[in-house]
Amino acid sequence: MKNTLSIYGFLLTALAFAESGCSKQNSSQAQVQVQAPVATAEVGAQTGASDSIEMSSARSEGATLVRIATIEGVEKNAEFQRNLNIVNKQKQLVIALNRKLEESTDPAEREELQDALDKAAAKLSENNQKMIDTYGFTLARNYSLVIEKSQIFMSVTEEEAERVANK
Amino acid sequence: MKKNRIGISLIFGSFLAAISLVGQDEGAMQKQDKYVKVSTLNSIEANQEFQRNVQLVQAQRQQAIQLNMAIEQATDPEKKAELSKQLEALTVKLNENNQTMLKRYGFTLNRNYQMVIEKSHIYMFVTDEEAAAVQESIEKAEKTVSK
Repeated sequence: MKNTLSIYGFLLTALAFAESGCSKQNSSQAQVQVQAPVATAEVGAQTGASDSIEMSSARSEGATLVRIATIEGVEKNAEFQRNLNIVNKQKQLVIALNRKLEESTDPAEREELQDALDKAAAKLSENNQKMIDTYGFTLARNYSLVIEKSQIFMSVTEEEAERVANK
Repeated sequence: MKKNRIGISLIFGSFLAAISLVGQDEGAMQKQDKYVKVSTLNSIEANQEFQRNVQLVQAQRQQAIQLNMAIEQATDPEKKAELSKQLEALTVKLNENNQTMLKRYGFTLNRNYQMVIEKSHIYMFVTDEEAAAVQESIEKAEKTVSK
């Protein structure tokens, strides 16, 4: 029951991609960073393109962010994304089971649902703890992922891939 | 006019441009799929700019789709003409931006992409009090080191 209660206290966690406002980081692991508002976004902003559509920021102005982890390496970043998906899915399962439990009137079904909920909540708590230990990430908080280095890959046909390989 | 027609087919073409993260879902970067590296983004600013630009062209394409739907539904000839004019201007802009994306990143709206992250930072949203506490602990740690 303890696990279940702690789950209900969780806020909705969102891991968003930061759009702007984070200046270059220094080597300090825990750095207070003030998020600046996003201005006009336009393709070719640096090449003088004009009358592009303005984009409004999804971020709240003046939000304060603290860096809690740096993930280096393709595998580590992919692992983080996978782990994040797992805990988010587990959280959704707990919410769904809880909803079913609230709606159920059949005692036998309620017992079964409570059992499933307890197990799911225990697993989620366990994984959430692992996320805290590994990344300083907990489902109870909101985060922003800032990408420093990435590669863009285009999906191609067999023929296109061969053409590129033969170049 | 020819350019605009190309734009229309680009907007309503059968391909839905999507960019997803490797590791984000089970199907991402499946081994049987073929991928070619088109760009490397080496800084936070470059990555943020890329994300903004992708969102921008996607939003423009979405707006063009909506305008097209509005034109189809409009019965007033004047309104139809006005919407068509808007769509034409937007299509020109979208083509221009798509071309810029192609030159800068090798990215075009009619293809699908995968983003592979090599380095990232996780930031936590904190209250002013928490931020002050973190700042204080950093300063304390720095003082200890300098002593």
